[in-house]
Amino acid sequence: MRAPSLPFRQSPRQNRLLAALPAEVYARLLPHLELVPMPRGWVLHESRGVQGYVFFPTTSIVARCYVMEDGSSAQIAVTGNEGVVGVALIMGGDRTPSRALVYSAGFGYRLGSSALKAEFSRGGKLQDLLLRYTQALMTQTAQTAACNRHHSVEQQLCRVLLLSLDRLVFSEMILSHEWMADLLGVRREGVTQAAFKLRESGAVGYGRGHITAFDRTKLEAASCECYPVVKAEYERLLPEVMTPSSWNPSKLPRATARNSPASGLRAFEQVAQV
Amino acid sequence: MRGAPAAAATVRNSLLAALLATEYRRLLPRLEHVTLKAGEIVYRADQKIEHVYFPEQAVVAMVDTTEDRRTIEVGVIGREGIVGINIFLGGVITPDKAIVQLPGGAMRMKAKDLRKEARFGSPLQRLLLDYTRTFLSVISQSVACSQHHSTEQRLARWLLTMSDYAGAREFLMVQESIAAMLGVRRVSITEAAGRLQADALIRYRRGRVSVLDKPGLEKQSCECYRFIRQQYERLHAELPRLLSGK
Repeated sequence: MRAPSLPFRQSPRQNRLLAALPAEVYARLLPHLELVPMPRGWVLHESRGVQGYVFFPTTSIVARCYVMEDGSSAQIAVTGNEGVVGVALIMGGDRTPSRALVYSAGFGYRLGSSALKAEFSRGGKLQDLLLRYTQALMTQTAQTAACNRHHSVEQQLCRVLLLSLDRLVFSEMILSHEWMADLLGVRREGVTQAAFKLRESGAVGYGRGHITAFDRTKLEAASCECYPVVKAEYERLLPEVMTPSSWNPSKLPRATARNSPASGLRAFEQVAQV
Repeated sequence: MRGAPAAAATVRNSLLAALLATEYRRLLPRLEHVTLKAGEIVYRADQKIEHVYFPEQAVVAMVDTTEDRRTIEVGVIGREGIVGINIFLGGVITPDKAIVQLPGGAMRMKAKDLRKEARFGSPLQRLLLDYTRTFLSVISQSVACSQHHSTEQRLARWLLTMSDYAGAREFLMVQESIAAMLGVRRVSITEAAGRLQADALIRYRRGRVSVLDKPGLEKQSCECYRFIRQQYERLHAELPRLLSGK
């Protein structure tokens, strides 16, 4: 199959977890890593569903949501280019407890369970990184429990937006109130009110009813401690992933019509249809 | 808490019990038996972990605390589990506090010994990997439960869980402590407990709560009680397969 020609270069190394692997481990995984477009709303795996792949997001951001029997859900963690979706696979499970849902469109790489397990069972750097990543994920989940219980919708929204900002590769994210309400597992009116306050203070900017721009400093001021706690824990557990010298989330390039993940997705679809 | 050498005869923690006798004997010199008191703080938040604990009769809650000192329980660990899974995952400190809910015995091991023993490919590693997966889904369930279910449902769930752990032992719980675990105000526990008492499911007197009717309480509880119990039953059923490495 002809390699799709895309507006900007795609590489598994755009996922910082993969980028932190030693060259020989990366080289072993590379033939098994498959580029996948991750459009908004795509469910990577369903709650309690069977999963055959793990996903390493590069330009997309994924929310893990816990779904109850009556269908109501709660967002439990945010994963982007710092992580991997589907870690249960290395722990002997082929079913995941949560639903993984793309909420910021982009790309990612998927890796089949057999290739993942083969590398994991070598007991090297991949295993070490994935275990520490799991610990970070647990911390984020536990902190989310406290945040959802004790902090305002506005603070929760700030937490999710800031965690998302740290995982964006372009200074662009399109989020509607409906999506935010879904993500947080709260009623839409609550989100509308919270988003209105953030807009008044200039923490977020709007375009066509969607949040499109952010002021990080103002968001941090309006946020509870949960964001810095989670951020610090990721940095402490995964220094080589979270704070490599090459990474500076406060200096993201502006998304243009040519290079944005959205136009990348459109181009991918066109190439795939040919 | 004073340690005593572990005895090989009775293994009450199901993770340890699942290990083959030969493996368990190898771990034995690294294990010591301790008695945990109710309310004892096993880990303080953001503190270096010195020991991991395999509870026997003891039950420990992992508690997340916000800056303004409000709390919520994110996972309860008893004889089916291990306190300090962070160590196995490569962590050094614990972000959460660990508080003893029901007193009793536990086996403990130095953190550095666990890291050594749960080395790559060992039966202990396979067992702890699966435990991690199970515990992660339990924490995730807690997030959703605290957000969507009523205090009454969550109180029922909490009391059922504690009653399962306590077995034949009588157990009483102080309302303040339940309120701290569920992340609600004490008055909400008083109200919810009042309703459960009116239905003759529990008795509560002088701020203490005890279970009278477990099946009735189960009907009042959210799905989370059953779900979490199923998770641990699955883990338990899979332990022999996991350990044989097939």
